[in-house]
Amino acid sequence: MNSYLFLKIEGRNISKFLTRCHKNNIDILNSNVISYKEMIIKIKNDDYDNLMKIKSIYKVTIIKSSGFIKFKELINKNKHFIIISILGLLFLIYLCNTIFKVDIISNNNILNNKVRKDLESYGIEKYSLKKSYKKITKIKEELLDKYKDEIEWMEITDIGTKYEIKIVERKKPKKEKNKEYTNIVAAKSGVIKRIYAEDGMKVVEENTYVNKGEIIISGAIMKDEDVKSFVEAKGKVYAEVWYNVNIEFPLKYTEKKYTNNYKKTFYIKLGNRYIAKKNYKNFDRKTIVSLKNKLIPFEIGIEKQREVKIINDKYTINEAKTRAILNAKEKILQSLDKGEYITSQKTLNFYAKDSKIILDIFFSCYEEIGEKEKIIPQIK
Amino acid sequence: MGMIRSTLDYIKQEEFKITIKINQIDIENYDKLGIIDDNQMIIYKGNLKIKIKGKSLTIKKLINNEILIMGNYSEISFEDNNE
Repeated sequence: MNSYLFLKIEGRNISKFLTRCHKNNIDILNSNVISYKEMIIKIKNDDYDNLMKIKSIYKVTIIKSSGFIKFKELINKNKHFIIISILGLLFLIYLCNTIFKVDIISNNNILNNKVRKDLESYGIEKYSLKKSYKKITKIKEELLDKYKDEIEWMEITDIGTKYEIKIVERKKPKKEKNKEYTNIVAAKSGVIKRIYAEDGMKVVEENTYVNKGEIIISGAIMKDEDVKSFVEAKGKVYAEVWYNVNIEFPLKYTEKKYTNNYKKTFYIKLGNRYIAKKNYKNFDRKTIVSLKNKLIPFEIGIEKQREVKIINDKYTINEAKTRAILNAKEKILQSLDKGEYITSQKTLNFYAKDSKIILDIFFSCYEEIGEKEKIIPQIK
Repeated sequence: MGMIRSTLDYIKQEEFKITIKINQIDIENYDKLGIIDDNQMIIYKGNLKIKIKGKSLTIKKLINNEILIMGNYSEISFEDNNE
């Protein structure tokens, strides 16, 4: 695309100027004689520099431009407006493709919540981007497959910046529950301390040692050594169970100690990365105020930086032993439920090796060991 | 062959040509310009000297091989430059 300039030439003997242009290979594409000492000519933009070199006493003024150069001038003059318009348009397109609401229309609130959580995992939630038709169809198929026993029909409709999900529940006739006959057996070996039998027949007495899998409460109701009927055995069985724990504990340790020094700082968070002034070498941060939104890819706020001193030290052998036993005890307690507890503990073996200590600890626990085992009834 | 030549000639347009219209003379593929003023213009093509006389003669267009003269011409003459 060419660029042209319209120039006003002023001076005596205008026709001589034209001849001079011609001699210097400057094309005059158009000319308009205003008077004997004034004319307007049209030349290519590329010839302008050459013309200025040969103009001598003639006065040359650019009146206007046309072609590509004019287009460039127009863009330059309005560049701020153009940039802001483009950014505004892009932002508008972004907002139009953002989900601002997800409505699930169904009578079952529990099902609604389940479906909503699943939709969130697929990225269909407030402030996330809309999905393509192909993706929506795939999500619908997967959800229908997942909830085939609960959902009869489902439709996901895109209405403006909202997704509307209509669900029709599947109504199944209630099945009659098959009766299940079970025994209560020992899940672990131990000495029976207490048996609470709600249903079934107790076959083991308290203070008896049982092996794993032995029947404690039977679902087969006996009379005169004959099985009269079968029931679902119910009850709780508590026994004393033993554990042998081997634990290694290091002698060296690192401790974090908080000082009373803290400072408030402004921060910007991009993803998991914090951009903030570091007031201390080691510190913990606590957010006081934060501004974040799913539409914006970063977070800003004010945080409190509290100074932390890192201490590297060494336990004595006895200190390490005490801590190791506490650790082992905590681990055992974590595996016990309400009403269960450690009855006794004993350190069987203990020695130090390199930069750690090794212990063997014996624990005795009071815990529930009953578990259900299915039986297949055979009544003679 | 003749057709090809005609087509090439049409595309290249190297032929010396004078087009005369009302108040307008277009000369293509001339060699050089001579006198240029309001009442007289002289253009050269090889040994041929083209003299245009009139009133208010102006050059409307002047590119490397074409000149468009506008104005009230009264006389166009052709002379041998060697004479």
